[in-house]
Amino acid sequence: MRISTEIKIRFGYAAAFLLLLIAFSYSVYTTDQLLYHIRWVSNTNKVLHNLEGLMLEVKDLDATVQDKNQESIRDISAFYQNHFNSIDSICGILKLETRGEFIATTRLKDIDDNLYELKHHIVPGLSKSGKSQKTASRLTAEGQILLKKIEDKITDMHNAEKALLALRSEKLNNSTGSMKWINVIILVIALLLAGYSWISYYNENTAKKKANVQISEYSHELEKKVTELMNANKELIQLRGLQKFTSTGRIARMIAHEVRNPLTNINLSYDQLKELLKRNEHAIILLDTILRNSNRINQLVSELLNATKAQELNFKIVSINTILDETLEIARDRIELEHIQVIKQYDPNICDVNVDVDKIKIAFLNVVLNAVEAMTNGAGILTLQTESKENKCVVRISDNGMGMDQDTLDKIFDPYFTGKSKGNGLGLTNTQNIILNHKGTIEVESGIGKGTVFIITLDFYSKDTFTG
Amino acid sequence: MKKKIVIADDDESILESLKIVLDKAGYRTETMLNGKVLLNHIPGGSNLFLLNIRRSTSDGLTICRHLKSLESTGEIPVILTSAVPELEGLANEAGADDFLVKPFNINQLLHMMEKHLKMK
Repeated sequence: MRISTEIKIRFGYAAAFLLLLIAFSYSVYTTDQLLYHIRWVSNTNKVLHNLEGLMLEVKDLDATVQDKNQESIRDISAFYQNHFNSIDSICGILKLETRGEFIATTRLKDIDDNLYELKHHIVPGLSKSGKSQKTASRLTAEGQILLKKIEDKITDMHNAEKALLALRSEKLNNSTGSMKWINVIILVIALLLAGYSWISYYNENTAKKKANVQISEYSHELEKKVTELMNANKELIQLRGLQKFTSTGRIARMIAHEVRNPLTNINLSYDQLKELLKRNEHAIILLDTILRNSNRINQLVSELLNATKAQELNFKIVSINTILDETLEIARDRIELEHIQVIKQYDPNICDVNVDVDKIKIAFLNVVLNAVEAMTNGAGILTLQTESKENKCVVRISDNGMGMDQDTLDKIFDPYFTGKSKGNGLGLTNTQNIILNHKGTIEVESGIGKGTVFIITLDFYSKDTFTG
Repeated sequence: MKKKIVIADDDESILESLKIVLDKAGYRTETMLNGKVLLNHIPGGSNLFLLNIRRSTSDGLTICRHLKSLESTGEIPVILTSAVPELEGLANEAGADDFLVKPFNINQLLHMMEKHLKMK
């Protein structure tokens, strides 16, 4: 079973947190223990110190007993009194300090008892009655025994406390050692955690950067694909237009051929009959009607053929702006009649084109006239725009006329398709023919009430592509 | 002696019309629906060939080339007729003496034939 990286990271953090928590709790506990042991070691030290003080006092007393046995009892008694006060005070402190320690307490009690005995029964002059009259030497001997007892007990206590100190010191050392190890563990965990975090962050950051780069790449690729698709679509539309145009041309050629053969027969027969019936007036009128219509049929067929056939082009290098200006000049009467405003948006630095000027003018003229007819008298705006786009010369001829629906747009270049009452329906077919013969493209954009734009694209003149 | 005109056209009614017109104009005519006959047999005493070029085939052109390539017929005028728009180029290419785009009328045809017959 695979565990996802995210879960691994979470698990890692949780484990580290748990370890740190345990280490911290243990550290708090150890610190507490440490303080406890420190307190006890310090207490033991104090006890030892006081015991040493007590020992000194007792030894001092012992020395005094030996030295002062020749002096007056009264003086000694005052001297003892001072010592006993000090000893009492130290014992009081010791009692407090050894509270809870059974052996030490018992020993202190013994010392206390001995001292009491020393004070009240052996040392003269301390009795409030003042009747005790024992000799100094006897006193000294008994006192010495008692003092010896006291000294022994103090030494025992001292030794016991020393042993206690050693024990507590060891415990203290243990606690300090634990503390040290805990600190090391905490440090190691913290370092591991920091390292782990850094690696996670680095990995994540790297992955994020990689993902961003990939996203950017995908986005770029997508944009490219969309553009490619759009271009392909545009090409397809153009190709479809070209295919339609080619098939229209083929049909036109076929019709022309098939119609002209019988027309030849009609004409030949007409000539014969006219000769035979030259004296019959009615027959001549009818025969002339036949000839006129035969000629009309031939004219229609010829127009269709001319609008769709491959043309011989007379190339000339010229500015597209000049051609447009000359086209406008031809259409000037119509434009003025309809009170149309003309806006020229020419690119003044546009490259020249290599075209059959007369034919291109016819092509543009048909578009201009189409625009003029689509606009309302007095409100029309005709815009002619030239620009250089993707190394091609782009001409846009737009009007603000009634516009066309998609159905009309699909048929706009079809022969005999016309919205005009007087049109022959071959104008835009011819325009398309001329532009396609120049290896250019022609597109129309329109919508009802939105006006119409004709976009004509021609190659710029270049020595490589045009040889005349 | 009347000049002999050989006419080849796949349109029967044209053949008939031309026969009437040319006979009346004082020519002898020999008509054929399939011009390929001329590749194997050329009628004797022919003075002019009037050949049609069909839309889908190049019969007229092939025959024209054949006639122009033979010593016996190379000098005989050949006029091509057709409804195809690019006839001029085709006629020149095939070595025809002249061409006539359909539809034409009698006067155009007679005038052209006369011109070429006189030259011989």
